[in-house]
Amino acid sequence: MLLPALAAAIAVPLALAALALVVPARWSGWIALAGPASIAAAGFALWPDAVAGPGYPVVARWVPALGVEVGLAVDRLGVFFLLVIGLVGLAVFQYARIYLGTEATRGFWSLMLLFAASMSGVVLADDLVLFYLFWEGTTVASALLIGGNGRRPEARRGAVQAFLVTELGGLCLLAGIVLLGQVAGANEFSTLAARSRELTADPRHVAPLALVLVGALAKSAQFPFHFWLPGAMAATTPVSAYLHSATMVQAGLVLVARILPAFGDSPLWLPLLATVGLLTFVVAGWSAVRSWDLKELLAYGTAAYLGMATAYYGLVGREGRHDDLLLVANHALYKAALFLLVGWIEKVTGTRDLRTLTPERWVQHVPVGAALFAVGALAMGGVPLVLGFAAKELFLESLLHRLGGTALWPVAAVAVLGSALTFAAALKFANVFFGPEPPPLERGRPRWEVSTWLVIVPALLLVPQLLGGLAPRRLAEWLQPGTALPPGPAIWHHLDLLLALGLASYAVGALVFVAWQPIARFPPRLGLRDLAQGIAGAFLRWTPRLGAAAQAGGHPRYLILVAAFVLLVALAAAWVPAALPWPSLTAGSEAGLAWVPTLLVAAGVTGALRLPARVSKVMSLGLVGFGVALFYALFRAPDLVLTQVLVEALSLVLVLLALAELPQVGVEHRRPATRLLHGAFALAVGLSLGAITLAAAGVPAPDPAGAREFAAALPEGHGRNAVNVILVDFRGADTLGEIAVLAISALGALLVLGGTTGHPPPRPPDSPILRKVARGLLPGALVFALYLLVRGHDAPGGGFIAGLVISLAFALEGIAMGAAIGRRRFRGRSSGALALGLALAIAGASLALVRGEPFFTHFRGGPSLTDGPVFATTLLFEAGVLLVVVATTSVFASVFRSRGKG
Amino acid sequence: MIAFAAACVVLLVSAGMYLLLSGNLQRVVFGFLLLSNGINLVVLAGTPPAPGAGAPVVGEGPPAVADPLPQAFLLTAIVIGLASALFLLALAVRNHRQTGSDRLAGAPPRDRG
Repeated sequence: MLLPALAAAIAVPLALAALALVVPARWSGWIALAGPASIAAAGFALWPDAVAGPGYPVVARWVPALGVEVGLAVDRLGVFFLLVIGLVGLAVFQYARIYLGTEATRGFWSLMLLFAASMSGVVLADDLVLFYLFWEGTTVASALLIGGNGRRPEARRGAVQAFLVTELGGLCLLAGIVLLGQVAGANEFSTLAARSRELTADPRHVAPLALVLVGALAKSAQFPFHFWLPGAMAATTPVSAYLHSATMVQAGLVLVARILPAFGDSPLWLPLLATVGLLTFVVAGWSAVRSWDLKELLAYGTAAYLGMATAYYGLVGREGRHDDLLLVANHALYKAALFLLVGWIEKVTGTRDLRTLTPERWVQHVPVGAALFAVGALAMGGVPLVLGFAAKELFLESLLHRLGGTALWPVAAVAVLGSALTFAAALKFANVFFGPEPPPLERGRPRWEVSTWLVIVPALLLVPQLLGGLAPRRLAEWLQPGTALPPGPAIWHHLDLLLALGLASYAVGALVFVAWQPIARFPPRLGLRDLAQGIAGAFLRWTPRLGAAAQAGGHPRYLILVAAFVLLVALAAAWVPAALPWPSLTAGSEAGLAWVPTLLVAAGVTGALRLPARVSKVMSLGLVGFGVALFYALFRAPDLVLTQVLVEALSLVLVLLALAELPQVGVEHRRPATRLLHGAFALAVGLSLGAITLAAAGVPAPDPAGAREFAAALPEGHGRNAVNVILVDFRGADTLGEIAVLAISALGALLVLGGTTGHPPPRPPDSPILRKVARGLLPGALVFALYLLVRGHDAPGGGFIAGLVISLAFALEGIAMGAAIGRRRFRGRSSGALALGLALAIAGASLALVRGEPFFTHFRGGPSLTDGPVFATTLLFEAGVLLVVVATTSVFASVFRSRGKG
Repeated sequence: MIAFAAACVVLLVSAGMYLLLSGNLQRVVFGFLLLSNGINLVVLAGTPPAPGAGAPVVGEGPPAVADPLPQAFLLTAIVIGLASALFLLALAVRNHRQTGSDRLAGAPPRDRG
């Protein structure tokens, strides 16, 4: 039950988002309808569970067999929001199909579905990281939807602004999540809630909580971020109705509600949320009163309402929370409906400017439309007999309940002012309908030509307003038990302070409404929007410049920037007060021998830097390689010694082969000053890495994973050579990835050099002795490689090393006989050999699946289960590794020699 | 021994970085080879075996052994280092076949040495 429903809520819309992109455009709208329908169905299916289930939360783990744990919370809050996303989504999608017609592209529907899926993820996620992923999904989808087709500059501006603000919030949220993980050691809302007491007692919780709340407030367009929401109104009407009133902007409230059980008692909670919420309530309400554009008015109204809801969450705290869902439901329904009605008005009249609409007063000739507008405006104004009234009552009551004494009056005054401003804005809205003038038709379209769906959909969304107005308590009880609402319709219940506050807000609101036109002309606009515009513009101007500045010097400059971070990390580590213990410089057993490889490395490095001839430079590199191999021997790593020596020999051959075509290196052309700078920087990087080496050697590894794997090598991996067991068994998937990288580098070389023509290949030396030796060496090398391959599991050796042995033999043969022999070896199908090698490795790893065991469970058969070289699936895997190594080196050998064919 | 290894790290990384910053593709490849050797040494020398420890092979030598995990990481790192260097070389060869030069485009003209 649980898993299919969760899939229906998230996976189905995601799949449809992909599908909507590929079907013909006229079908994508129909397909899109299935997305919110699926979400709503999931909501209805989960609702009984969420209501009856253990309070908080039911957690579903995805794919338990693979240990993939994705914490999803199926609780009242999440499922309620699923219903909102699904049902309002269904209404808006249907409206959008009609409203946009052929303007709705496949990309539009795909984005809408992507948004719906992300939003479902946001409301269901229990894991904070998962929550953040979905959260960013909504941010990106929202910005793209606001931008539309990108042709209108105003839409582009709105999109950039919305993205920058919500993304800034998103980054704060991410920082908060990371810090919370450090402080609380938990990444789930449910765990945080369970540890509420100890968390709020710890003063370190304040910074992460503040960061998380900044993220929530930015998303919900709270002061001082409220300006992005009106800018987002450049989006088409269905997008505004769905994202920017009903769902996405309420994601901030979801976050607040999710962390309420954990942090509701924090000393930060009430002051921050109540202050920001009430401030937004008044500031956005004031802006709504001053707006001319109906959509802008609604946008500010949305910010104001969300401010009220934020303040409500702050006021009720942990104990008194029982009606927040009603507040959310109220707003989602009436605000979406009003947006959709504005869309209809704009279709019919061709404008949404109050300066034109109000004097014309045409809507009174459309009784149905007028009635709907009236209901919506009543809900917005919080007038008795609609649900909006109940919501406002709840808010004012929470205020009276929580605050007492001297703090109450100023706060109550602010709340009344906020309510009054919203009421005045609602009156402005309603005023469009009442008056004598007939409507001009030259701008818009005749009403009867506009689909009735554009009225039906908002009407459906407004039905709950009336039902909730008649019986608010029943609706509230259904949403959340223990409501504070009294029985009976939503009108005043007692002659008390609450009634007085309500009446005061109406009176002030009516006064503001009468004077709204002078108020709107009153010059000083709060300059935040312009400021934000300036910041966004500067951001867009400076980012490319920054990028250009980092890259102007060619690769040296950005290489320096990248490597500078290494230095920074090293310096930061040195800054840590608990200084790392300095290792004993002579640690290790063969301290007396270590000067030998050091001399080799020093000589090699000097030669590579100073010797003029290229061949001698390459030889010096070989010297370095052998020095390092000696170090590996001193560090007790026989497999590494073998690998390194073979690689050095092989690279000597292949590098010289490639260089043959290039001109001599020549003298250094860097200016002396540049060389000095580069040298100083390189030395700084080298010194800091040397310091890191010393510091790391001084501390024992905190997690003895290596020791564990060594102990398990024989009993679990059936091998004595722990390094090889790790490579093919314990961390075999890693190795599979590595050989895939090898194959990719070879394919890349084929692509880069395959079609080009180089110099004529160097003629093979005419030496019968060399030929004989190379010929004779090959069978021996093959046998030796086979031996190394088989014994690799128990003693130094294995697929990589055996592959290198064969590669080296092939390279020698190539030198002796010329290029053709190498091409003949794979019959020109070296990429096929790469694929075969990968396939063998995958087969070796997945044979276990046939036996019903997990990937990379190796098993061996043969005469004895403990000793001797017997067949095992590890051998199959190793053979794959060998083949990939040989094919890769052969590809390089042949492309470097090629005259056009790889 | 650690001090010697660390000294080699300094040498290899500094020289590798210096060559990597050059505008000449062959020097870049040489630098890459030096740098990858240096980094490999950092990984191994950062987890030195205890005195008297043996190779991480069961049933041979002393009971204390070197940590097998960094060795496993390095084994693939060495092979991949070779493949990456060869791919770099392939790019250099292609660059030469197309432009006739072994200099890196994008570097300031005076520094393309």
